[in-house]
Amino acid sequence: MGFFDKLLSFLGVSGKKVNVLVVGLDNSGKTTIIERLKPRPKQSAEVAPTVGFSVDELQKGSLTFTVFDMSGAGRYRTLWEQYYREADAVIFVVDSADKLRMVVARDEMEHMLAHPNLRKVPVVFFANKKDLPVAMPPVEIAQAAVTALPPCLGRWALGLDNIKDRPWQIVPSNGLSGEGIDKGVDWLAERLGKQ
Amino acid sequence: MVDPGDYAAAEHGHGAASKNSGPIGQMSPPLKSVWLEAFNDPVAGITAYTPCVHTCNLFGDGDNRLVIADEDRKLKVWKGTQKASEHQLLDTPVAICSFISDNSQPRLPALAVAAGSHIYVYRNLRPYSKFMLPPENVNTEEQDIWQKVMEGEIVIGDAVAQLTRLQDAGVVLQTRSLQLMNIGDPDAKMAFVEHWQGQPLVATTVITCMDIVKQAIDEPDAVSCLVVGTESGRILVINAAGTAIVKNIWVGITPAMIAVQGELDVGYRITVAGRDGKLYHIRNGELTQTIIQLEAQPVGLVRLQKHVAVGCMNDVIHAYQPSGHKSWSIYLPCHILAMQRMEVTSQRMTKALVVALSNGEVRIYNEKLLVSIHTVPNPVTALWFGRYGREDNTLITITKSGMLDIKMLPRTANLEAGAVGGGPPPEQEIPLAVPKKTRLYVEQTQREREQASDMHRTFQRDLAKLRLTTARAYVKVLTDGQGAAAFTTSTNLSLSLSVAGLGPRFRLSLLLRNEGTKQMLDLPVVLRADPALYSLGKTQFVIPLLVPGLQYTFEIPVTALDPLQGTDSVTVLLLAPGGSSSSAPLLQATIKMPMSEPEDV
Repeated sequence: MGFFDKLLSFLGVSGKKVNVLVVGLDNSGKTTIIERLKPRPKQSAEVAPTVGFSVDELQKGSLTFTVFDMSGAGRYRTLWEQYYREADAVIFVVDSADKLRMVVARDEMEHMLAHPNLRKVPVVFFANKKDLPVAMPPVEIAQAAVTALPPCLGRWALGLDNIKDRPWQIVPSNGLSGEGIDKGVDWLAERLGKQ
Repeated sequence: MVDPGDYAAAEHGHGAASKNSGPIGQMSPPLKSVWLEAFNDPVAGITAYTPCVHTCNLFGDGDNRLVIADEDRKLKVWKGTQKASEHQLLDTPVAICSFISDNSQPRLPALAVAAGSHIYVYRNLRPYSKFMLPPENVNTEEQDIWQKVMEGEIVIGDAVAQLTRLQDAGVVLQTRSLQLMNIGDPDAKMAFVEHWQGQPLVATTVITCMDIVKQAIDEPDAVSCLVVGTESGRILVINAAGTAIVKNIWVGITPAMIAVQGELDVGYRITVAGRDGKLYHIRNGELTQTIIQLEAQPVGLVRLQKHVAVGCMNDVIHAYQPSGHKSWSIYLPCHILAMQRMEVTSQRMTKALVVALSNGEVRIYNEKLLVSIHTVPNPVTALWFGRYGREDNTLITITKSGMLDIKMLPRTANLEAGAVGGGPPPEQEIPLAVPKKTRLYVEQTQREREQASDMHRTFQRDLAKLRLTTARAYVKVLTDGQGAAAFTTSTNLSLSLSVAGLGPRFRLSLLLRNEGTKQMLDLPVVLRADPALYSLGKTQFVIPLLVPGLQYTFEIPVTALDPLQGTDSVTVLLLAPGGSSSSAPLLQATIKMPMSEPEDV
C-alpha cells in the first residue's frame, strides 16, 4: 500500500476528495468503525447512538474521505436518501450477530441500491462484530436467498450475489479492535483511485 | 368501473377461500403480504395463547426480550433468534404483563404472571413477590353449617339436608359444600369433613384476565398498574407497587377479556367482555349503564383508537364506541383464532387490527379495510405485535404445533386504506366542481316559482304548434312529389325510392304499393335524370297491373357517366293510365344520388 501511495502522489493524483456514505441498521457499529479509521490520538473510547448524522474527514493514502456517518435508527433512515446523490462510495455495516434483523438490513440495502439517485458506486460491506460467538461468517451473509434451501436458512442473508451492476466486497470486521477495517477501506480506495 | 378481470383474479387468487358468509359475500382478495420474514423456528416447542405472550425491555438495554408464560409451567425468555433462559413457574399461567412500579432509575419493568388466584411478580427474572386475591364473602348460613359440622354439633346428614335447602333457596354454594353433597358414601363424607377440619369456609376466586393501566402519563416507560379480572365477577386495580388493591369494581359476570384505555389519574375506561356474551363498560371506576349484547360469544377484544373491536364466534368483528354505538362490522370467511392490536409507531395511521383465521390466514385490517394477508401453515394460538429486539413493528406468531414465527414490518410498508384495492376508488376523493350560486340563478328560480302555470301553458302551446307544423310539412312532402316518398289520396298509391351501390354503378329501387281497393292497369312510369351525368337503364316502362295491397319492387340500373362531375337527382313520374282525362302525373318522387366511390383500376 505504501508503494501505491507513492505512485499516486508521483502521478499527481494526490488530495482527491471523495464522499463516502456510511449506512447500516442501528447498533451495527458504524460510528465505532469510523472512529477506528481516525488517527489514534483522535479516537474516542465510547460511542453513543448517532442522532441524525455526523460528518468526518479522514485521510487515507492520497485520498481525502469526507465520511457521512448516518444514524441507523428507524426514524432516521429516511435521511439516507438525501445523501445518495453526492456519494462516491458506500460503506454498509451489518451486525453479523443480529440474525433477527438481517432481513431488515436486506430490505434497506435493496431500497438503497434501487434508488435512482445512487450512482453505480462501489459498496463495501462490513460484517461487523465477528468476535461474537453467534456471528455469521461473511459467506453466509452474502449468499442470495436460494429457494432450494429450507426457509429457516435462506432468509437470513443479504443476497449480495444479486448485485451485478456495481463492484462490491464483503469483509469481516471487528469494530472494537479494528481488524478487517483497513482491508475494506483499502479495497474501496483502490476502486475509487481507478475511477 | 371495476374490471371484470379483477373478480376473476380474486376467485382463483389467494389462499383457501372457504365458505362465503355475511351479506357482502367476500372472497379471499388477492393481496400480497406486507411483511418481511425475519425468523421462523418450526420446533420451538411453545404452547401459549395470546395473553401469555409479551415483549418488554427486561434488562434496559434497548433489546426487547420475548417473554412467554408457557402452559407447561415455564417462563421462557427469548433474545434474538435463540432462547435465552427458562424459569419455573409455580402454577399454570393465565396471563403475563410487564409493568413499571416506580419512577426511580433504572426504569426496568417487572413481570407479572397471573396463575390461579395469585399474581407472581418477577424482577430481573427472579421471583420478587406474590400477590393473593382477596377472598370473597361467604354466605353466613353456609359458614354456620360448616362450623357446626366440623365441631360435631350436627350430623352430616342434617348438614347435607340444610345445604340442599340453601341451594334450593338460590344461594350459590362453595365448592366445598358441593363436593360434600356429591359424595354418596357416608364414610367418605366423614373423611371429607375430617380433611377440612379446622379450616373455616373461605371463597377463593381465580384470575381470568390481566392487563395494565398507566398511572399518570401515556409513555412507554411510565408507571403502570395491574388490572385483574376475577372469576367471581370483579375487576381489581392493584397499585403500582403491587401490594394493595386500589379499586374493586363489581361487574357481576365473569370477565373473559378486558381492554383498558386512558390513565388512572386522568380518566380511564375499561371494556369488559363477559362470559355471558355482553360487553360492559367501566368508566373511572364506576360501572356504566351501557351494556352491549353481542350476538355470539366473544373470542377477542382489542382496543382501537376510539372504539373497541370485538371478535365473535359467528365470524364477525364488530367495533363499538363507548357510547354503545356500532362503528363498523367486518364479516370474515371463517373462525377467528386470535386478535391483536397493531400500533405502527412510524406512521401517523390509526391503530390497526391483526386477525388470525382458522383457514391459516392472518389479515390486517385498517379501519375495516383489508390491507394485507399472509398465511401460516398451522392454526395460530397467539399473536403479539410490538417491539422485539431492536426493531419496532414486529409480529410474533405462535402456532399450535409450537412454531415461533417472527415477521417485521418494513419501513416503507404502506398500510394506508386507500393504497390497496377494495376501498373507495381515488376518483371519489376529487370534489365535484359545483358552480357557484349566482344572483341570476336565484332570480330565475324565483321566476319559475311565481309563474309556473303560465310557463307551462306557453310551453305546451308552442309544442302543439311545432307538431302541427311538422305534420303539415310532411304531408306537403308526400303530396308534392319532391321527396323520396310520395303518396296521393286520389289514387291511393304510395311510392318510395332507394338507391343501392357504391360505385359509378347504382341500382335504383322503386317500391310501389296500391293502397286502394281497385286494381290499376297499365301504369306508365317515366324516369328523368340529367343525361350528362347519369345514364338510366330504362327511361320509361309500363306497369301492367297493380294489385291492391301488394308491394311491388322495380329495379333500374343507373350509371354515373363521370364520377367526378358531381351528383344530381333522379325523378320518377307515375303517369295516368291511358284513357284518363288529365295528363298531369299521378305521383312524383325525387331522389338525390350519392357520390360514387372511385373505381379501382
